[in-house]
This record gives sequence, C-alpha cells and structure tokens, in this order.
Amino acid sequence: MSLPNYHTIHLKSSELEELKQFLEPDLNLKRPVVFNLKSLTFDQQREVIGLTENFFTSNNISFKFPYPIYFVTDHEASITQMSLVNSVEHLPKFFTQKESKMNVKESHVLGKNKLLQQELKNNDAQQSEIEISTYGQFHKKIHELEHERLFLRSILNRISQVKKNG
Amino acid sequence: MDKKKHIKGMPLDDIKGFEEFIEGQSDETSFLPKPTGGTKREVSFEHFTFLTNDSERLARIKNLLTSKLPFSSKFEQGHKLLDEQKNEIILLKNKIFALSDVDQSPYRRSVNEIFDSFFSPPQ
Repeated sequence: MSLPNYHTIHLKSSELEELKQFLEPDLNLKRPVVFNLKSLTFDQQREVIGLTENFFTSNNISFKFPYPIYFVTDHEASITQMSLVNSVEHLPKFFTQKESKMNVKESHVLGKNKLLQQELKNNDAQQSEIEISTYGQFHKKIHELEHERLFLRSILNRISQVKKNG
Repeated sequence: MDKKKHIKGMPLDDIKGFEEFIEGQSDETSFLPKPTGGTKREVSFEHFTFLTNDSERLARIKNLLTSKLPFSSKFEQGHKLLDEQKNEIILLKNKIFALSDVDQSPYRRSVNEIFDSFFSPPQ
C-alpha cells in the first residue's frame, strides 16, 4: 500500500494504442492521476484529452472521484469537463506528499480509506454528475434571485425613506 | 515573562503532563523537548494528517452522493423557495414603479437632475 500521491503519466504520442496501456477502470481508484501532455503538439494534446474523456464517459466511470484526473496541457479549461492545468505547479498541493514507509497507524487509516474509495467507485458516475450539476445550478439560481431581491428591497427602502423626509 | 523563565528552568519531570498547556500559553515553543530523530517523525505526522484529511474528503464525497443529493431531489422546499423569491421580486418591482410613477417623486427628481446636468445648454 502506498500514499495517494499523484501518479504522473508522460505520454509520448497521441496514439490510442499507447493510451490504452494506461486507461483502465481502476485508474483513479487509489490515487490521483496526472497526464503530462507537454511533450505533445497542441492538436495531439486535444486528441488525448478527447479520447480519455470518451473512455471515462462510455464506461460510466467518474474522472472526479475517488481521485481526480488532471491534464498538464496548453489547452483552455473550456474544451472539456475534465480538469486541465497549464503546469505541474498549478496542481493542487493536497496530494503532494513525500514518499516513505508507512507505520501501522497510517496503514490502518489507509485501509479505512480503501473501503471509501471502493464505495465511491461503485457509484453511478453519470447519474452523480447530473445530480451534482442540477444541485449546483439550483443553488446558483436561488443565490441570484436572492441578490436581485435584496437589491430591489434596498431601492424601495431608499425611495420610501426619501418620500418620508419630503 | 518571569514565570515563563521559571518554567523553562524547571526540571522536565516537574512539568510532565502540562507540556501542551504551557506551549499553548507561551509564544515560545523551544523549551519543550524536541522529538528525537525529528525529520522522520515529522514526515510520519504529515502522512498521518494527510491520510486523515483524505479520509474526511472521501467521506464527504460519499455523504454528498449517497445522502445529500438524493435527499435534496426528493423534497420540494427548494422549488417553493424559488417561487417565493420570484413573487417577491415582482411585488417589489411593482411597488418601486408605483412610488416612482408620481410627479415630483424622488425617482423622477433624481432622473431630471441627472438629465439636466448632462443636457442643459451652457449658460
């Protein structure tokens, strides 16, 4: 057992055959994965991102949990639902830990995490994605309407105040 | 300060059991004994904290997926809240228009002032 540190994959080409070596259902079960695409051309990077996203979507596997998948690429985040960063330095620091042998106490926590990882893996990824998105949009709508309501209320209060004062 | 110095000078056996308390009260932490083989223990502590935080992260995601999301979609309070907000916004807009749609209303006066300040012919 090892710590859930970043598992970095340096791709040398955008060939499906090479990518297939890495793409497997348990890829992000135990640790976050980073595809470093910096050695590829701009178009090749786009191709790899598309193929990987397609793999996760068609197999109904989440690329967000248990552990996230990241791409180090020159592309903008808007081209995909997956997480893109421009350089390794922009990856979340949370998963950056020094490797060393684990003691019994740590192994016990890791064992407990293993159960949680499996439970998250067994979730219906597409359904979860839809529910999270709906949940988020719903709260955003409530927030926007509340903002508008408070704005109108403040205008009304001001007008009423001025009217009272003549 | 004198008390701190006094505690610092005390033999370690005399402050046994109060180390954390003294450390919390003091802005100096150097008088407590350092763990031997510091680096390895520090790394181990970091690993344990990291794993515990990761455990909490995973548990939160699980809670979101298995409890929070299904629960939120079963009840209609959210939709009711949205309807209430929309109705109140319409009501507020109507009130503002009603108050403003009067001769010499503060709103009209303000608009006239702004208009005049921009479009009045130079004197």
